[in-house]
Amino acid sequence: MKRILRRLLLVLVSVGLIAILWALVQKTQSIDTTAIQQVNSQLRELKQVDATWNLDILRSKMGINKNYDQVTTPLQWLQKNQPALMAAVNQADASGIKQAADELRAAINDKINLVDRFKMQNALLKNSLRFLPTAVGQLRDQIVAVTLSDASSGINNTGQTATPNAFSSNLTKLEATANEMLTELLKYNLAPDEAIKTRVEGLLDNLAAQPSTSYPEQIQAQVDMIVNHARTVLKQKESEDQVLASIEQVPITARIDQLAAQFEQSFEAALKEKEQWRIALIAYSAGLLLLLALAMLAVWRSYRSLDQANAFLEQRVAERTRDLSAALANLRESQLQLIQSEKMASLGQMVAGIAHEINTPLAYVKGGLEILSARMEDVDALVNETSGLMNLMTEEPAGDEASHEQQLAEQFATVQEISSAFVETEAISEINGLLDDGLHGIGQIAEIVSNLKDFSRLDRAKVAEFNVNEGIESTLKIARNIVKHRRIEQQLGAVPLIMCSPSQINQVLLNLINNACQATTEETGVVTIVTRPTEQGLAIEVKDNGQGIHPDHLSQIFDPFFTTKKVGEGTGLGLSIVQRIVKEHGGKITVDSVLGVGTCFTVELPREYQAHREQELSEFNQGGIT
Amino acid sequence: MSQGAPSNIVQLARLRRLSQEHSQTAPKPKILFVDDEERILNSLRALFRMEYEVTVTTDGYHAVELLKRHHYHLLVSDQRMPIMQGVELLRQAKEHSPHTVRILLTGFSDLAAIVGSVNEGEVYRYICKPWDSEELRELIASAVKIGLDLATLDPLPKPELTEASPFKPTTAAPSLPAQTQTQTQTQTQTQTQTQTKPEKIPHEPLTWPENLALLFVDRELQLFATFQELGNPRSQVLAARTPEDALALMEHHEVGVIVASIDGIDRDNFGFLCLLKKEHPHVVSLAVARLGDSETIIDLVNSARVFRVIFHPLRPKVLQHHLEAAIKQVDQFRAQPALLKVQAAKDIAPTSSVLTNLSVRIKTRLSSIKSFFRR
Repeated sequence: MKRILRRLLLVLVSVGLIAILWALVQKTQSIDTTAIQQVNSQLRELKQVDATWNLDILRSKMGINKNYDQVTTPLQWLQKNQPALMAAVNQADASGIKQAADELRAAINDKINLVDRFKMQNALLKNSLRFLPTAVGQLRDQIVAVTLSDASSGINNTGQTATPNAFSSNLTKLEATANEMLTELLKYNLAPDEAIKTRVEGLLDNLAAQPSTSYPEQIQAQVDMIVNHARTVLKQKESEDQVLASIEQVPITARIDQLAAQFEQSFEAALKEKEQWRIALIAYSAGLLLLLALAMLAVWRSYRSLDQANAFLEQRVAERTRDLSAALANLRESQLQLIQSEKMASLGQMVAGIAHEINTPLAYVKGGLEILSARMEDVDALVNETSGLMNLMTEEPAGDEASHEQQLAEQFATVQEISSAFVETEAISEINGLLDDGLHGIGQIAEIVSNLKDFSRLDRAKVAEFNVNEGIESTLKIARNIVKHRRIEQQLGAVPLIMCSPSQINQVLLNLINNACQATTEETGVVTIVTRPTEQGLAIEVKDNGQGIHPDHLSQIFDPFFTTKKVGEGTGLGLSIVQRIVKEHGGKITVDSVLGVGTCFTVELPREYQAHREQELSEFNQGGIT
Repeated sequence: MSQGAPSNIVQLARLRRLSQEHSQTAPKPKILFVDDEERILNSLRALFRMEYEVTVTTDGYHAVELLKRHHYHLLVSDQRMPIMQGVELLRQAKEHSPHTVRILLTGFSDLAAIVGSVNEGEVYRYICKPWDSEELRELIASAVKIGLDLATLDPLPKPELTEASPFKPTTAAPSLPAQTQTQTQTQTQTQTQTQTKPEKIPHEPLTWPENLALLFVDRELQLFATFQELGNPRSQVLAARTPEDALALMEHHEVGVIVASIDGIDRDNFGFLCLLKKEHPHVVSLAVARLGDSETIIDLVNSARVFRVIFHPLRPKVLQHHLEAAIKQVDQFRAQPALLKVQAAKDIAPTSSVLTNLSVRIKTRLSSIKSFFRR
């Protein structure tokens, strides 16, 4: 639980650190230099446009431009670029920028208004300027006309005129004055100068002054119109100059520069902030790196100590392994010794039984032969005495007749006594009987020896095809000493031949049969041996009606050294060895026991002998009967 | 050829004729052979049929029946038999026909059987198969002789009755100064003693004949210590560490029963028992053995004629049980000295290792032992 909490904490801290790092990176990346560049270029462009605009205004003023289209082009530009600029302005959160932008916008609007006024005034001016030469021309024409009419119809006019020459000179003067005024006015228009203006105004005053002799009505009207227009030009020109001055005074460039400076300042500020963040990021990264380095150091240290611990452990493990191997070797050795001693013990038991088996026939064969030997002496005596009698009967009497007769009679009596003794004592039939018994005994011994060979199979292959039923028969013969006092019931089925180590299987059978016999009493003991084929091979059952195995002991009976027999009567290895042999043959052994009813051991063996067990078996056999 | 046992067929035939002629006056001694192998019986019958009236059977129960009905001078039985074991047969034979000499003839040296045959069957000899005909013939002859002697005795009282044996010490034993190991109980036997017994035993406290000493011989006095655990015995009890000490004591005390350890550091006692039996067959000996060596036990039976063989660890109750039997035996010997014949021990070769040293040391002293039978 604590560990989980610690892990959770560690993960949270890591996530936090990474989040801070990410935030710092974001901060350092948020400044967009392209935006400021764009704004700068737009402002520069605006400046350019403004400059062009001023030029265009001047051009319009000078009349180089025929119309005012050039003057309105900045408006189009503004319409086009203002949103982007405004967006940049709005994006910038610095109040200075906004103020500067507002001021710029106000300046531009002022300029636009002024330009409109200029346009209007310039139009009036141009109109008057265009009309004046025409009006002066018309005046001249009218003067010419008047002069001509005077000359022809002087009478008409002479009456009214003092002199016709004075009159016409007045008109000529008027015309000259008008012309001069026009020239001066045009001059003034091109280069506004107070001196020129004064002159023009003087000339205009001249023109407007009522001559001593009034002009013809027509001319007067014309002069008045010219004077009015000229005065308008003068007025308009002055006003136009004022407007232009105002226009010039509109501080667009300054405002632009201000805005640009504001932008620059804001950018600088942003840059500065970014720089600060960057420093913070670097510091933070450095801190993180330091932390990482510390962590790595810790990890490295722990790894090093782990390595040392590992090395120590490996050493210990190696030592332990060596100890254990030695112990195992010892154990194996003692196990082999124990198995050997168990084998020797069961072998000894078996040998004792067989010795008794052989001993009985041996005893009566020996006894019989000893009697026969004694009887042979009697036979020998009979033969000797008989041949002596024969000699006496056939040979010529050497001495006197009587002594020969007596000798013959004595010899005859001796022979008769011996032969009648044979008959009386029924020696011949006894000898025959003893001979029969002797041969029987020898046969018995021979059979036992043959059984021993069958059982041990030491003269056969270690692993061979084996008929288990035959094994049971030879085992029962070997164990005759044990089983002869029990009722043995055999129910041997048609079992297949199996590949196995016959001597070991015989050992298993002997052990199980021996146990079954020991579990029962002589009076009531019944041992049933069943063989039956199974799918894999065959099964052997050894049943007894003995006291049964206590349920507490049932799980232990295959354990080495487990025995319920008295000390010295059993090593407790018998069933353990049986189990081992059966397992090595790839079979299994099971036990079923009911207290007071009996026990049944079932051995199942496969048909084929597992080749990979050969090794184990040969090891096992190294401790075997040699 | 031995002197007593004829083997020549002519002699045998004569013997046969002779016994047939005098069948009424001098009947042939009767021997009963019991063995589960008929051919053994055939062989034995062939060997002995001339001289003795031989009866054979393979069935122990049948043998017991025969013993009840007829008197046999000698019973020779096998041990391992399917129907009735040899020891059981011998035990029953002792009960039903105590004057029949009993011999166990077996091929299987089963320790339990040997000890059983001694302690329960009280056999005269233990013989191993296969036998040597001559030796067997001699042994059977000697046994039959004893059997014939015993047959002349009154029938022994039944074991149950021996308790009330009329045996009383006839002569007052000389009261000797009590030695350190000797405890003399002078009080009357009728006095009931309040003995603290840890467990109930079926028999009464040991009743010990007066003037008859009980001797324990072992180097470490273990046997004596065990005996003392039984309580306060009303008897003369002697304890000796060596055979020499034992003989010294026996010069002054009449010893009826001797209990001796026979192996380990007490190896000498084996020879002592053998020699003692030769000279003084009336001394009933109990051998306490540590090792389960059947050869030794067989020798104990045949050469030392021990009455009982007891194995370590020796328990007081077991000792008491055997001592009681030994006392009865002593009673019987006193009542019927002829019974001592059964105590005839087999000669041991003078070169036998058990005797070499010992015999020189004690042989001469054996004759000076105080004995009831000498007086």
